[in-house]
Amino acid sequence: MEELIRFENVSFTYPGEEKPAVNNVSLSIGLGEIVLITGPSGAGKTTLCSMLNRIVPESYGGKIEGTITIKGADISEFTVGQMAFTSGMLFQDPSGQLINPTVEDEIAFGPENKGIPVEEINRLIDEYVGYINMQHLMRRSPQALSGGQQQSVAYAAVLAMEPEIYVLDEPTSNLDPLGSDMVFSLMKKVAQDKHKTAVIVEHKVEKIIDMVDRIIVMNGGSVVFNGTPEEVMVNYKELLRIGVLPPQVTQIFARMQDSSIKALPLTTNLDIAVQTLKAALPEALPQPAYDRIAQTFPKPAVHTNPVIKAQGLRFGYNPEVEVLHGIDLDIYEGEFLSIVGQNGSGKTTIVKHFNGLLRPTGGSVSVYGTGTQAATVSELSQKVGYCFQNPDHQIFSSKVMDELSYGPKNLGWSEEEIKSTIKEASEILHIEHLLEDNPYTLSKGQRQQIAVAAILCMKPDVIIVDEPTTGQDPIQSHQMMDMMRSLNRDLGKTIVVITHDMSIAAEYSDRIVVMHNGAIIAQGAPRDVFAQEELLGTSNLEPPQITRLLKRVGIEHPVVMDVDEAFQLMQVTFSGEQGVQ
Amino acid sequence: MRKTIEQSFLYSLDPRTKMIMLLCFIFIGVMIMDPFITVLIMVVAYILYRVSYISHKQVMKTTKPLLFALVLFFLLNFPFATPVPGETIYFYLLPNQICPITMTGILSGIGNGLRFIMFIWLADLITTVTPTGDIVLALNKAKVPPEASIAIGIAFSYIPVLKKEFGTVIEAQKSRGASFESKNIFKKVKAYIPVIVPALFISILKGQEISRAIEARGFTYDPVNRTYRNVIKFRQKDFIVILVMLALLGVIGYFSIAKGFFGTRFVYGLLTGN
Repeated sequence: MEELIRFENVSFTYPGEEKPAVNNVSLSIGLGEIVLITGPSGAGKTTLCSMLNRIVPESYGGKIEGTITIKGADISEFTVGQMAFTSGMLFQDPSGQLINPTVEDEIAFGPENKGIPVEEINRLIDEYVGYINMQHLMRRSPQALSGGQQQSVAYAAVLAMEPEIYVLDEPTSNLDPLGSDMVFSLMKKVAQDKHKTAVIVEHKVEKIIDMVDRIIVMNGGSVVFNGTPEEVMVNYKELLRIGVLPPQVTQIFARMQDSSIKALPLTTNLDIAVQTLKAALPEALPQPAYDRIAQTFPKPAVHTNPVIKAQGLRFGYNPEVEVLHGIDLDIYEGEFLSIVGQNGSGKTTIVKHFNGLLRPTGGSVSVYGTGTQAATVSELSQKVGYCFQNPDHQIFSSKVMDELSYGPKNLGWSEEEIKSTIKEASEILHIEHLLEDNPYTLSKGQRQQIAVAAILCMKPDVIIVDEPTTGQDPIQSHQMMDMMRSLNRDLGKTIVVITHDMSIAAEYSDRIVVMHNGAIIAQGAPRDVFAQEELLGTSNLEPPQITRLLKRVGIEHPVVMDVDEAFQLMQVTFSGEQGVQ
Repeated sequence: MRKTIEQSFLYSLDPRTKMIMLLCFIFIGVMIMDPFITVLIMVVAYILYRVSYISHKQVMKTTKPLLFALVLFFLLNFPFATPVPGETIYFYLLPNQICPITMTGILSGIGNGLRFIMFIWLADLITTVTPTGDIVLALNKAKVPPEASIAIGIAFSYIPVLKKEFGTVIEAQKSRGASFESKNIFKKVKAYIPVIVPALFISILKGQEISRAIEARGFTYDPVNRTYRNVIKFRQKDFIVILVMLALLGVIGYFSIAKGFFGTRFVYGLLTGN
């Protein structure tokens, strides 16, 4: 394969940092290759791919060492403006890269900058608007589109520049499952049609692995694995340790291999895994043994004392458009509840009724027996704490201590009371050492902790967290959710989590509520909800891959929720076979 | 099918024509103090709204918050409205013969309030029927460097985005027990600090993000020689509209300055004969 990109001993340090973000990386990418770069947050993935169009170092400053060549030419001699037409870059946040008044103008923007003739630009617009099937939205403002549509427009805008290399930096991190699927299928289509080189940074390995030729895993600024998907995925234990999730079908096959239960050829694809496993299964499944194991699977706690009651809740931001169509929902004391659904399904709209940010236009919501119609947000905030997704929307103090005391001060507590509450809350969340720090100098993860702490300091009985795991890597997601679990188990707080992530919801919740188009379409214990695959499909959600694998090979009961549970079933399935041999 | 703003006559005009239109209307508005004539111009503005396919409901949505200003203008006008010598004083707003209420005061109060609404209507109308892209092109014609005109264009596109972010910040702080309803102005300002700081921070982050996105799309390649896909040019209808507007301005200007027409009591005087 002809070489296109070459990194030679490349290191980069951001200004004011001591540790390099990218540390002595050497690698080579061939013409037409599709490469996935993955790894935990802070591994240097974005920095590495931002070097390809020289945004790093040009717009950040900082120190770069080593050489990067594209088609044999050292790119340090070019400006970002010039490199933009060689390495077309798609960013993470869709709305932050859409700068034009209409979709059409957005796609034209890159080609216009190159100064090419108008007829040629119009041809490019036609071609790429057709690519994303948005001919009917040409004159619409990109900011008025859904997340998935926005990212598609941004992608089309990059494609219209006809670069040699597509650089996609976490293109689906800020999207819901529907939007992600939209972007992933667009990526597939482009890969098939254009035969161009693509460098993709992504956490959702499972979704993308079947379209990439190679995987590069980074950790702490260095490349730790570099090879074909199969070559890299063999190291699943190490990958899990650093926070990269191999596809669940790969994990289960690898574990079965490692513990010599059954050696099946490793695969990253669900369909192939279904075929392979089906062929290997004994004719009669050991159902009694399955049922016995099912008894040992963790059972979600059942709670019965409702603290928040929504009855026939209807709501619309304006009278013509109703977004919630008669919701009946009880939240029970001490439970860990997840509300899942697409953007626009009404998840956030419901919970905003629980602390009075919104008032029902029909039906009622009561919190601890009192209707929310009569109470102020401030009064309700002592009962129901609402933690927004992005800590940047609420942090305003130059000291963590002041940030934490803001809520209690608003509630009119005494100085001593506030002090002791902050001490208590910061101990629970292990942030005592940060109290004197400036929140703006802390990491995003720490800021998120501060935001939760700020809510906790108001001593609410119910804590609502809005999409705490969006845009985070698997390790960060688990840290955040572990924190919620400890508030639930150790302090007895009722937790309501809004999320897109089905496996996170499964792992932590006592109960899941599935929303679609402003109505609840399913609710119950995670295992019961996952059994209804078709129903989830109507909301474009799907159970974890491992759940689908076992179901499709014919193991319908018990419904498994993670690789561990599936592994136990595989153990008993194949142990009999071993005995015979 | 219902027609959209994009199909209207005003939308199809050159942005420079629309700017001239707005300026003419502003000059006319400044010269006319009479509330009755102001109403006449408002009727014209309302007709322009409707022929641009902007619904009555949309216009009322713009107007509703302005009604408060109308009342305010009306009330605050009395201390400053000097009665015409010999005018009947109906009563005094304050004891000791302070703030006399006269017909002149009432007329100028209504006139000022209505003029305020009229100005907002016209500005709103012109900006609604002018696509952002056109504003950028008009600025380019005026020899504004592309860096600046693009920045202004982006600013327009981002107003709704920042408004939404601002709303989220307010909701987040309300959820922490914040109250913005204090009567005391200093307390009110202080209460808004927890909103302003995150809003500024987020705006700055967004700004950085946007600047990187623009660079990544090759804006710095050769800004001066970039292609502009759309071109604006004056057509016959633009010249006609400009001529009509200038003529109107001329006529009203002449009568207003040379003849002293359109004062606060102009129509009232004609009607009552004094």
